[in-house]
Amino acid sequence: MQRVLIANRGEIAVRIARGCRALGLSPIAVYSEADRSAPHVAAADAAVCVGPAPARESYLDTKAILAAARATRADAVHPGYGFFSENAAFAEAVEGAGLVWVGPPPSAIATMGDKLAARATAAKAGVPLVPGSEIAAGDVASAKEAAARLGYPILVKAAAGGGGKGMRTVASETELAEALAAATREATAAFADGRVYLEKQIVRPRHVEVQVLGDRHGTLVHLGERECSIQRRHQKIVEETPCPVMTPALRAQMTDAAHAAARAVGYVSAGTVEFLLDESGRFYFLEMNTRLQVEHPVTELATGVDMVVAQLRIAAGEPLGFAQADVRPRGHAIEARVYAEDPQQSFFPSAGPILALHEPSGPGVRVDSGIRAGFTVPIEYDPLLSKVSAWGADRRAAIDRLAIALTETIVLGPTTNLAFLRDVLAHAAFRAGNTHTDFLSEHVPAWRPAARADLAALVAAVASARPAARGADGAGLRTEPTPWETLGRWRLGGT
Amino acid sequence: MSAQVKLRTGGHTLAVAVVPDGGGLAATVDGAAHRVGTIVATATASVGHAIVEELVLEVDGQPLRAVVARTRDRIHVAVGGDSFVFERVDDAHGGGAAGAGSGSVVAPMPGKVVKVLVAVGDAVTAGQPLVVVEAMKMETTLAAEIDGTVRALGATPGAMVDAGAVLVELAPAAT
Repeated sequence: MQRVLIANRGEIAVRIARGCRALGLSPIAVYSEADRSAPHVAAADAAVCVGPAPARESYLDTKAILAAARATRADAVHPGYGFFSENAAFAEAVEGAGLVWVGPPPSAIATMGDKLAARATAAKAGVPLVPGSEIAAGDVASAKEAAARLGYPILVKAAAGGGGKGMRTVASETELAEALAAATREATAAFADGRVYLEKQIVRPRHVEVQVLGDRHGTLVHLGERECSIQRRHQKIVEETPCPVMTPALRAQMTDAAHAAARAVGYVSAGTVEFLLDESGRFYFLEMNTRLQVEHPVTELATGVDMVVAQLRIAAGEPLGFAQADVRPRGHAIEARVYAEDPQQSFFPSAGPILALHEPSGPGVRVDSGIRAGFTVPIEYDPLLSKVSAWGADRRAAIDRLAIALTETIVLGPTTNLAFLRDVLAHAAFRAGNTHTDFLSEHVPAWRPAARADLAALVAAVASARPAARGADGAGLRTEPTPWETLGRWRLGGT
Repeated sequence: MSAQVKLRTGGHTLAVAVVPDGGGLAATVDGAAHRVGTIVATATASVGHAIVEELVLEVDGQPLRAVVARTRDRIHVAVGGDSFVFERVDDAHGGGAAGAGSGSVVAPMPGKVVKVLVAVGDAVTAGQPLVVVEAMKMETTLAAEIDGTVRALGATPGAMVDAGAVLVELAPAAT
């Protein structure tokens, strides 16, 4: 294995390129026409345009990706997360083309990708499940019966689901028929698979997940847990390790369950077993993500394990090289996802050119970025710009460092969630570790930025009046004249 | 010589006035007085159509670091960990009436026009949905801010539009 094609974009493609270089492997990028000048292209040794902006015609075009691998003499493919990462057919196509697939066996992807098959597999392995029930298509009568048995509120979920698509909360029986129909419609549209099932809704759960890593030689370890309860639109925006309420006994149970679920599908490579943890300390299997997670940096910060390097070495057939007893997480790590989106407008995605960018640094701070000044954030993809993570000796120290790092971060151009993230980190309930998956709707329901615009308006007015406003004479380091001289050329308003 | 400008952000308009005073500037923002001392710019650059500057100022005796990006119609400012986008309000063009809602419906971000719900000549009421646009697989419905009549359409279904593109122009209803 020498040349690794990275079938992804953005921050994760940059991250994977770093992992390749750490092993002396040559990273190869693919890009769509919208990403020609993206940082992930510059991070690679070679890059191939795989099609126009829409993902379906580029990053999700199997033929184009495999042709790019052939053209660049790549011998392995790393899918990152999203796109093809949990697509068993693509994994098989990669292996069929004689390339190394940097991920789990396609059979494990297929089993865990079907939520009903995943539930059956977990149950058989003795892993506790969220109480639920399969529903025959259109059988509202037996759905009502099952829902009554489970007890409202319940969730209707898509068997092929993910990312909240095909998911509905049902508070009472009167809403059930309509929710079933809507979820089926949405699931059919999103996954070409309309099967849905019911799950009892766990009240105020924490989202806690266990990172596992397995090689082809029978070693399977866990790298501890992450709590990812801070979510909007069923997507995580803040993740940390350890979980603030974890105890050694609970961790032992939960990691054993994760181990059993992973073993049950012959898991190899990096994977994540997700659980809901209820207020009484009981936990339930949610699903297994058969890929590298967005939030893997917090685990890396706490354990010192480079997970991309581990994935690449495992894919090359090497043994993992360490055992469970060698995994000794230290301190606390936390990540915030910086998105181009507007927290005041239901987190609606933003886009457009990045006019100015300053990324943070400092003790214990890590930045995984997929942007640069001058890059235009395309409207076609997930609006994740970068991830800012911090490590500290304890939870408070880690949160403090992250808050400072987010204050240092400057992104001018698209609207971002930076101020929102800072307010979440500053919230008393978050500081106290009182988190659950409805945290944002409960504690920050109608967020408005607290900062006053006065000072910024003053700066804007002063800047506008300066001669450079009309000069546009390019880059350079200069000392500007005093306000006396500047005001002589004032042109805005006034008489 | 007095210099003043009106800047709009998040639905608020701030009046800023600056006059030379001693070795610096005397400024007011919505009537509140500030003193601006030394101004030094480091690293001035052009990014696309924007002029980007890092400024070090002294405001009310406190040092202040800011990044400012100016495009033709907007001023982006990052200061003290927060970012703002200002639009210049031009009094000569009736900007003062903006508080009562604008007759133009513009694209909030670059995206694709999914549906156009009105035609030229249609009478509309404030709050009525006019256009559906999509960005990053999310749809948003843009509504009329005022009662009026559709004077012009800048949107056709399927078209890609830039942020700020005028999608619907309304003639205000006679009062």
